[in-house]
Amino acid sequence: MILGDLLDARVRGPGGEHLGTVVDVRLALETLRGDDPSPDDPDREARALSAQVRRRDRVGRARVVGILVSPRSGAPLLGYERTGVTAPWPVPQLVRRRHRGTFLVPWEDVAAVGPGEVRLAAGYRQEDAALP
Amino acid sequence: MSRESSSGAGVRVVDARLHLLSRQVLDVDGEPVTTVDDLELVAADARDDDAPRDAAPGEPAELGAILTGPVLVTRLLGGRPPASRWERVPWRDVGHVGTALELTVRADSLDVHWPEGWLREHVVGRIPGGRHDPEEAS
Repeated sequence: MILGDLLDARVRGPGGEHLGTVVDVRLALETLRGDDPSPDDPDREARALSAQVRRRDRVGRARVVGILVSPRSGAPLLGYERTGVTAPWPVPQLVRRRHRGTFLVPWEDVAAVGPGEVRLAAGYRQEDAALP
Repeated sequence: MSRESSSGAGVRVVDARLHLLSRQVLDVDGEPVTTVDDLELVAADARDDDAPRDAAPGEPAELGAILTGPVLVTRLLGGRPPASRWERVPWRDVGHVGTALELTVRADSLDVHWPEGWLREHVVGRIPGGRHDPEEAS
């Protein structure tokens, strides 16, 4: 499965009712402490180029948390409805209004993914779409 | 540099379209490699030595690879490139996710630039003077 199969797919409830469109897929990136090369590493100098990458936290596995469903619009979200950003006025206000009611469905509650359509399991949960 | 060498330090939540798709991919030296055209989802329970299993709805899933390919036409006209046309960069080679995605490997070790390598060998290399650096004092 590729992410493009999910994005912009229509979302249907367990009974086939239309719920909205998949506007994004939420992922949880595992962050690992950057492992500095040890001082007695013989290749330390050769590894200097990668030091920039090593200094910061590395990412590990990226788990799929769930799908974000917008009941009104499949237009790009720009992220405004998931953060507290208010500028530049009035863009965030308009985008929020267009995407009001956007919710997060945990991946466990996704029952089937077909061409252009995602079906949710019975008793699916609707969670807050705000980014933590 | 295996993932197992460091312990988990936390979890960062990102949205794929907002934070990953269309971002630039840099190699370990900071050289641009490609952009994130799509992402492959695989089943999360697969071990590193097993062939990755395709993700199933409702079962634990994770990112398997960054996909890059000829997406210009499909973005304009719809559809998506066939699976054979995608070039994959395994997710385990991703070191840092920021404004750009930084890899922990060199671009040469990936297959994403094979058309460039092929043209260099078969076309540019056959042009007289095509096998040395023009800036280099001869």
